[in-house]
Amino acid sequence: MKRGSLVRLPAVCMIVFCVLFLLAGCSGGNKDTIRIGYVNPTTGPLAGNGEGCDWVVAQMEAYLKDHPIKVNGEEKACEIIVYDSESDANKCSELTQKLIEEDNVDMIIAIQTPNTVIPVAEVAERYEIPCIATQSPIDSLANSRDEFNWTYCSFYTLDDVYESQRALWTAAGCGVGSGARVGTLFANDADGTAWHELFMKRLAEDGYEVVDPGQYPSGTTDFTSLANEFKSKDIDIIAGTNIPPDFMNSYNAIISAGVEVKGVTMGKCCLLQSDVEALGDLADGIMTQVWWAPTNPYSSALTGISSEKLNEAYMADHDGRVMPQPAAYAYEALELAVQTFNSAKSLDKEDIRTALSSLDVDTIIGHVKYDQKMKGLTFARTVLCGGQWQRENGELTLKIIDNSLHPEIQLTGEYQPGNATNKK
Amino acid sequence: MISGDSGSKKSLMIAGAVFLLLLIPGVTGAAGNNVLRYGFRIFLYITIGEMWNLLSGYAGMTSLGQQSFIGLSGYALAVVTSKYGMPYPLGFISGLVISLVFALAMSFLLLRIDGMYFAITTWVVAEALGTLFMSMTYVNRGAGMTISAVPYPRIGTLYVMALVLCFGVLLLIKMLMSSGSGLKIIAMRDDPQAAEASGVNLKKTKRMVYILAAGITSLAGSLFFLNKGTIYPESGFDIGWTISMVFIVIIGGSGTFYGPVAGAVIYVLLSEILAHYPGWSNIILGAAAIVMILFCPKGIVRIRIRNKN
Amino acid sequence: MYILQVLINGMLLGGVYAILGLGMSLILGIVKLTNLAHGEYIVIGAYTSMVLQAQLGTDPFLSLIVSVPFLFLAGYLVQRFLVNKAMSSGAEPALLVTFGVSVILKDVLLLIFGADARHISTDYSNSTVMIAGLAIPLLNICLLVLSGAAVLLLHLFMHHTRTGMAIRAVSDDPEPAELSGINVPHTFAVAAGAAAATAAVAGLCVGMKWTWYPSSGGHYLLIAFVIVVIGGLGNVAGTFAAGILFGLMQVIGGASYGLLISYIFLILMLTIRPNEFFGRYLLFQRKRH
Repeated sequence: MKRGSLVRLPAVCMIVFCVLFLLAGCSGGNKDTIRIGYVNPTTGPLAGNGEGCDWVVAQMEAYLKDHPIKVNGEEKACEIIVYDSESDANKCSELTQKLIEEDNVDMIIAIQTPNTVIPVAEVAERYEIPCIATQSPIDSLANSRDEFNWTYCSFYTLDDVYESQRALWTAAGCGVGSGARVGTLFANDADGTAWHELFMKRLAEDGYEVVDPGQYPSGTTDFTSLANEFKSKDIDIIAGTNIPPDFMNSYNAIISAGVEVKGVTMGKCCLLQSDVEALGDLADGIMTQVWWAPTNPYSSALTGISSEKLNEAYMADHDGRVMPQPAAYAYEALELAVQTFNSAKSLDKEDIRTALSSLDVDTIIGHVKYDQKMKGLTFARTVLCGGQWQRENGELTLKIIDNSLHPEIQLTGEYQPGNATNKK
Repeated sequence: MISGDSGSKKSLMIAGAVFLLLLIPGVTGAAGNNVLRYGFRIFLYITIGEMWNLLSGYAGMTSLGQQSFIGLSGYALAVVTSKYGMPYPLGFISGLVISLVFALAMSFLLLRIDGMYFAITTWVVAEALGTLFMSMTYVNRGAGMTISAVPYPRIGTLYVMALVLCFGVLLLIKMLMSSGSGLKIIAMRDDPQAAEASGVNLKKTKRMVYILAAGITSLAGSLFFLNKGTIYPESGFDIGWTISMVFIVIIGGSGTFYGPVAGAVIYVLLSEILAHYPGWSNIILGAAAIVMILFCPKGIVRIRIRNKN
Repeated sequence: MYILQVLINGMLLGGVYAILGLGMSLILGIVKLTNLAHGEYIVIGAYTSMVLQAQLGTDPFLSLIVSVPFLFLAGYLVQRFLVNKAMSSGAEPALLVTFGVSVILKDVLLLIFGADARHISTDYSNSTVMIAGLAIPLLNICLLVLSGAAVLLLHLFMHHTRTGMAIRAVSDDPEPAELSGINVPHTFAVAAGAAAATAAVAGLCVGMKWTWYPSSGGHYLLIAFVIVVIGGLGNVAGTFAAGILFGLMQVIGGASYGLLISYIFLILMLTIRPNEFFGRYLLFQRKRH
């Protein structure tokens, strides 16, 4: 038994290395195929953001079948490799390395909340692979490292978010100078921390009275004391960003404590009809950001499909479920990737980066041109409007009620007092 | 594991030869980065697996909180390199020191309890650390931190560091378990009362094992996060770290020297292959774990022993 | 007045926390199994109640008629055919099996129900009743009554039925119990089934009080661990007291520090004087060695 164990170590090592060399031999190789790496939170707490990824990838693959990518006039096959991050930042960086080293991808897509985008972009930067980042506020990514040489981000900035929420408060009668008391709800996760910092600064500048109960760990179940603080300070507005369970737990506690407000503006958790429906009657009148809507006047320059048509196709395949906003950004990311390769001179990564940085295209979520800079990050500012959930024939629908940041977007409704805005 | 002098000398030589052989691809870059990436992960998982095996398999102290030390060292690395702009080896050292001090302090509390209480309390300690880091502005709260190093170490360098750590740990375990302390540890696991009666200082032995495991796990944690480049409270103090150690040790063979080695290889290869099945990977991983335990409950390594005899 | 109201609400919520810990207390104290899948059992309980409410339109409390037996059966089968076998080779293999069950359930739930956040709402979800000038949410009272009833039923089951007494006998020492003719694997499985059945009740409470999605199980598992360790293993009354204590700590610490405070409290309590709380259990551990 002892003698056996002595021989076993080298034997194990040898077997391992044989396997590894075989694996290494399998991958890579064929340079006629363009490979795009995509890390998506398919499972885990961020699964709501990752919804629709498979469908979007299938749409793009179907398009590429009929319209192959041409790099410098030469037709190339294209493969989109999707890995599931399980909403785990550790897996994000591991899988990005796997995409780069094992699958030899030519481009990385970093998408779906800062928790996914930052680790993925970090690895892409280190390995010097062109990276399309989207669906993460610019500030969060820009603050994560000093300089970005390979990553280009398209989304809104936190200043845009603040201004959009402020416009919604104004619609609810709590504009600048009204002396309204704003109660904030921020978890101490990545998004909550970034928003909290900026909101505190801007709220003070605009002369709002801030009731900040402090950030809390995501997954907190008891908000009784927070609700009582809101009650005793008699707030007018609830503002913040939260994942659905945190918002719903805190909001239920706040309503149970008898707090009445003029407006609720909440990021992240109120994007999907199914999420707000979990709130029941309390959902009527909640306001949130809209970064994409089927009614937006944008079409993809690549595939020619309009926002409305894309949503119809999604609904047809998903039992009438409206296309989630993050899924539209998944579509945009793939559009940008294909457009980049179509305009690249060669598959050399420097050429790909040049093509990416000089993109100037219409996509499903609006026009994308990387012409702004925050710290070391070059980015394209995309559309952001204010919306409100309103009940129409018993069905909750998200109406765009404010377009002050992007007047080209048509309004689909106007501010209405609802259950969530019952303060006189 | 008591070997004769000639036997141990021979096995040392074989181990040295394997070490040098494995060093070649790292130094020359002959094997390609992807092979190095696999090697890097396997060596680190062997390291943390061996440490969990030392705790649970040899000493009978099943912990669910080894992620405390991985998170602490990862954060130490991030703070030292990106907040103070110092080189990363300094981050390793500060991570090690912080982990050792923390383990020493916690040992006074944790070693009063054993069995399931020890397991659950170590987990709660890790969760408490995660929650604490979530609310500390010094470490950016939940926004996480990035690790900066100029120039950033290449995978070849990381591979060599992981290789050295892994073989150092294997040698250490081999020496420890064939020394008097090893006998004490085993005796303590098998029958604490009898061991105490025959002169084993239980507290001292447990403390030594706990602190040793903490220190080496923290070194592995530093390397893991140097490779990842970003850390969040929920990724550093993730129970998933300890679950992977449990997987490696139990599937490989608890209380054996080669069990964690076999377990780590299986774990890394399995997780790499499963990445190709997004949405199904965890279902398959969970099913694989259950099936393996039901069919070889004592671990892969022990099956081979039985077949041989 | 506010402070009184806050404290009372915290204590009322203690019922929900107690029911989260109740099943874990059974399985840890009697089967001696660290069941990592308990959080997923709770989530399954919540989904079961949600589906029944949506399909039949009945009051969610009535859904327990179906969800309790359903989870009892699931818990029984998992214990009988998977965990018992692994437990025969030690606590750690069993731990890994429950981890396997946990991740499988989590992702299967995601495949079935999607990633949406869910909540069980009723007409009275947000009603309050005024008692002595204090506004008390009606739901909190209902849930406290429900969990009190569950605790009482479990206590009666454990102390006044033949099966319950067999479970306690096995818990004290499996070997003599086996010699006296008790089928130990079956008894363990019944205990695990009972633990899962309490998870059905916990699932309903969680679903009505809070919002969940397929990956929420981990949070509930951790709360359950904390409650159990504060309350003592297999100690039904202690679990209830621990739930109320935990509820109070959440309120006192506020949303920002409630969790941290309860963790620190737990660590200190466990490590500084475990003998007073767990004397009986530790004695038993020593006897086995």
